[in-house]
Amino acid sequence: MPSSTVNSVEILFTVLRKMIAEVVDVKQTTVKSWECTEEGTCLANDGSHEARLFSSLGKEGRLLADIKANIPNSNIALGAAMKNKLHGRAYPSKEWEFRPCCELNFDLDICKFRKLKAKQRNCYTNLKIGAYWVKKEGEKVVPIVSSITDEVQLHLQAVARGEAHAVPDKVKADYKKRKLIKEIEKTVFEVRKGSEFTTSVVKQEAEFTKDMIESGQWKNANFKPYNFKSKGRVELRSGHLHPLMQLRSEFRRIFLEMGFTEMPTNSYVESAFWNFDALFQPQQHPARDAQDTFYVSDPATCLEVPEDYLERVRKTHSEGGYGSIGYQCKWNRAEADKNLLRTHTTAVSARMLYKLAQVLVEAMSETSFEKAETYKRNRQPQNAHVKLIGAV
Amino acid sequence: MPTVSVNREALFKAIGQEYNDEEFDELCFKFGLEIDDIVDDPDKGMTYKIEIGANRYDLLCIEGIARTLRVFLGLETLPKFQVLPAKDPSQYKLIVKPAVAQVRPYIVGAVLRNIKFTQAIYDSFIDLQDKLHHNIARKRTLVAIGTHDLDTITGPFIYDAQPPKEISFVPLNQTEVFRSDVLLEKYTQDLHLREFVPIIKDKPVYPVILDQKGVVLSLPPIINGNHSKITLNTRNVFIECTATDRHKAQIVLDTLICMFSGYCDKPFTAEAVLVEYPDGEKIQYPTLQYRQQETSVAYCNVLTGVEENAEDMAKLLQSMSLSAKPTGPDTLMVEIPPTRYDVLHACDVAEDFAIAYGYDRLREDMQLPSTSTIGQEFELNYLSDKMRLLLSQNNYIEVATFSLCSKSDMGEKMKINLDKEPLVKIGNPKTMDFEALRISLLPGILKTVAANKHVSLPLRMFEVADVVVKDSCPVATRGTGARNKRHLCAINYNVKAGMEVVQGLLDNIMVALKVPFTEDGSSKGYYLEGKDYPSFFPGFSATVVVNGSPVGCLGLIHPEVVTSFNLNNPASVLEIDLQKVMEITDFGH
Repeated sequence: MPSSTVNSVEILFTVLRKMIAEVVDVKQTTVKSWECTEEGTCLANDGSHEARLFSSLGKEGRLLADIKANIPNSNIALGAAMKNKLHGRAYPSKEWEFRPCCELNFDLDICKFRKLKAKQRNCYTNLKIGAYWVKKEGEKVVPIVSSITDEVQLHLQAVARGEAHAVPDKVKADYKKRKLIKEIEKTVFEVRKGSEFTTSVVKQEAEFTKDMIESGQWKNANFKPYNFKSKGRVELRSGHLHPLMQLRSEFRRIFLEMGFTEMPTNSYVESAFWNFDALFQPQQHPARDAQDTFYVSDPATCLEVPEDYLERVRKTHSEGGYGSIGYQCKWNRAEADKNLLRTHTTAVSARMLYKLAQVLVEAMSETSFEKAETYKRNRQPQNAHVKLIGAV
Repeated sequence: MPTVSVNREALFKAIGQEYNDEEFDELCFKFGLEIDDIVDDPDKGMTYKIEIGANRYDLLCIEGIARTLRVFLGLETLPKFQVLPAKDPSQYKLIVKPAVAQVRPYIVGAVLRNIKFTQAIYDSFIDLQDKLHHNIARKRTLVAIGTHDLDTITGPFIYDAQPPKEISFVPLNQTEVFRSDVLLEKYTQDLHLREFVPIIKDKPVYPVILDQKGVVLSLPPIINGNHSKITLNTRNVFIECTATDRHKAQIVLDTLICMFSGYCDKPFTAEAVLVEYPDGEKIQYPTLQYRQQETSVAYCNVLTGVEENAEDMAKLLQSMSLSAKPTGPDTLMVEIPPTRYDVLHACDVAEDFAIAYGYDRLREDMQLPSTSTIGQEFELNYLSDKMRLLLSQNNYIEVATFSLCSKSDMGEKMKINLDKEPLVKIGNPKTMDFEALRISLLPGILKTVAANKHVSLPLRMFEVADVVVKDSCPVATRGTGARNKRHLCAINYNVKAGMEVVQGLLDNIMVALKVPFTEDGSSKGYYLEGKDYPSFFPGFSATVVVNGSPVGCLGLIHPEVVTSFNLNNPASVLEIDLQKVMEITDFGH
């Protein structure tokens, strides 16, 4: 079968479907081509703006104001008409012959020529001003040459004929910028007879039904092979646990397996005493700044703190103790009473250690020696080595 | 965590060794420092920004870092710092007047004799004072440093506190005389100094230091006088530090001496200054304290997990600027120099030992403790996890929202009057979004729904997490005045809200908790009792009652609440106090 361009999407899909069934073989390629835009087609028919401007000038030329008022697209036309390049060779004049000149550019745009300094301009003599069409004389625009070739029109006509390859690439790029032509992509499907080619359309079953099974019809049906390359389908959006919580569960599991007991950390509000002071964090430490800690305004101070323990903490901070020289400065009770949002779970660890110590103290203070021994023996394995962690 | 910027070349020159960036990073890491950033500063050249611990006052300048690293690398031993007798004891005195006791009671001082300044040393000197001011001195509130050209002033010096209108002088880098109250007013506009003005502005008397001729040395903690300004030609420096914390003043002074006395003709020495307090107390400064700390070898070994003997341990401690002598098989007498005021206890010595040993050399194999114990979960968490699993099995998606919220989210948007609620408020919220702790999970979930409007309906979400309420019971709140409550909240957001959907969810939850459905009024089991709530549509909400106690609510969200959260579909919601349910049903037992 000869290759043909498929226009209809319906035919396309049928083809593709049949493609899978090996009835036809389809090869897909992309082809790029150029065609004129609406404006481009206009210019191809009527001629370029600048050509039309030129033909309207006559021998005497026209006033600039007149042109601007009456000719459509006059600014484009004027720009194009005056911009055409200087052609020809430039010979250095006698004075400059033996002096190193500026780089003589033999293909100089008129705009660039105007920008050259006088000295440099003088280098260019004997210029052949080939392709000027018009020039400005005072308020008038006058023609320079007697006749012109409308290259733009010729190019556009070539493109319309399908001979875009005849037009140089640089020029095509320019026309594309001016929105006179555009590049289009076409998808080409080459269709050939496949191994199972047939002109009759056979319906293929995708799966069994209850009826087919009961009637036994499945034995006669023709089944389309299942497409394993497509994505599966999820019936209903399923529930999920949060990924962070899943990670937390992992951590908890590890600690539990190692034999740790989980601490009760369900307390966001803590007193500065347990959060900082009991952990020997000095009261002037920057971490206790308003910048780094959230302080609670209501309730602003805590209700109670174990007083005997607080006294030991105060002493250690201000004077030292237990082998430490302390911070050697005044310890402020009001600072410790402040409520804040717990900055670390270690605040809970401090409470746990205090509780543990109370339990041990209680165990040690049994009056009867015997009782103390039994008490200690019963409790020892658990209490002496209980390790505590905080859940995140 | 203060960051110290040092020029890379100058640092390597001071250490006496060259490194590339990676090697130096390794070295710092071994020592326990972190290089925060490497920048190409237009003025300073290639600069390292090194992060220093807040308690290491000896690492706040290039001199300190270089010397400490040299000692760490074994290239030198820490020099012995000495206090020399004052050249003229009658002159080098600071006489304290009683008036200072009400504003800034303490002062310390010292003299650096025959010091040679270059521009770099001078800049470092100023920089160190800044760092000390900012960190240990807590922005000059605790200690303020003043440094003066000793040759321009005449001792003995007076430390007094006088009414603002009676103090006039030419402040640093100015040419006219200013009265101190006018000067403070002027400095409220100054970018650098305005944060210090409130420290003394409203006091009846301002602290001031004067010499015998009435020249004002400084107006602490604000600014020094121009008369005694230090220049590159200064040879003798008088340092004074006024303070509200005597111990910190001592640390600050000692640090300055230890860092810069190396540039004196007699290196590592400073001359004494006597401070005379009005009650007769006379103290000589600088202290340059060498403290003896007894440390047990076994203690250090246990903490680190190694087995070093006393001699080797002493040698390693040497590289951390701690000079140690074995005084027995198990004890070391460690001398703590004035550069190491951060060492408070034997555990600090043990830490330095571990660093010197090399954290990377510590035991590689994992060691489980030799005693085995039986693990135990916190019961509330155990139940919560079961609930979370159950809800995800019911096709609800778990979300995790912020515990802090704005008052408008909790109050107006939910049509709830917050004045009647036991709300815990934050005193210094960063933004309006974090004004208070949440009392319900619902606003967070509604915000999550609003953020997922592009997802196809139905949206079914849940969260099992803590809310916080005020409570005056010390026992329940562990002495703080506020406690956490574990809530469970689920939402069904769909074209038709379907209250029966969340009700079905509640039924499943109760089945899991083994709480039977019962008729109204019964004291065993659960039922729904119709009740209007502000956030719900009237007639379409109920209290969930378990074993006779209300534990939560269920219902259709009020359309005004729906729109206030920028949503447009109906939603039905269930929120219960899981903690209360656990307590009431005695779950698990």
